[in-house]
Amino acid sequence: MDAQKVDMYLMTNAKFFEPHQLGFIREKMLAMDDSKWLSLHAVQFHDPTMILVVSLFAGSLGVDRFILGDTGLGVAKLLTCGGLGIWTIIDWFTIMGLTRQKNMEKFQMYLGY
Amino acid sequence: MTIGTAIAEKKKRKFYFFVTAACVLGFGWLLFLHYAKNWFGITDVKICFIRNATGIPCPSCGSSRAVEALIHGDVIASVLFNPFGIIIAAIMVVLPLWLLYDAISKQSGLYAFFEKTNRFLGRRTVIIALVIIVVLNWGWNIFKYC
Repeated sequence: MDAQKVDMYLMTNAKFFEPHQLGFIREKMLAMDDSKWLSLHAVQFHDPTMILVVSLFAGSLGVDRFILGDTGLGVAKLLTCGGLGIWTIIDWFTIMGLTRQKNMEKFQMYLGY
Repeated sequence: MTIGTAIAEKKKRKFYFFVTAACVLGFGWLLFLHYAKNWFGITDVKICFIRNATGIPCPSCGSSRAVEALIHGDVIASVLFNPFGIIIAAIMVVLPLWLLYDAISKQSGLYAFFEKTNRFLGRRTVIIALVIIVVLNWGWNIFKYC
């Protein structure tokens, strides 16, 4: 894929991934052919900041986990009132990194098809 | 070992660590409630963020008391506190046993079951049913506390 297109994509989507993953993404994108450009834009990633906001307000109900697709953990969080509050607090700090991790997995799944 | 299986192994280990910690926390909490009541006479331990902040209970408020009622054999009181208590109690019985079994037999049946459950719970009809159940229970909780 055209290097200019790749860099443009990375500029707008860098927030979805961990900084150290961007090199890998750039590599893989350069190796892709141009026809994948449109379908790559169709891949929906979760915004870590949005998820953090959700976690701050509705973390006790497990909503942040449900959005990320961790349904089982979300149910467990909901049943235990946010893991007795402790899990809620832990997730406040870890949910952004987790979101980026999930985004990376989604990207890799897209590559794999 | 390829990168793929190394990542999968790490995920599995994190899962088991997490589940073990959750079990310890869960039983620790029950013990704490028991001793708080019997040694210090504290009967009203409010741990729910939502209830402390807004005064409105969350869907699982009362589940600690529900589990305690079940321990004493009172199923009706348990359901009246919070029907989810039965689910939690069942999980608290099965989880340690399954963890022990997996540890002794060096298998990861629990993790496989967890992955299967995650896929099952991701289905739309299941999600809608769960949301309805949770909202109904939440409504009942609000009715009970207000």
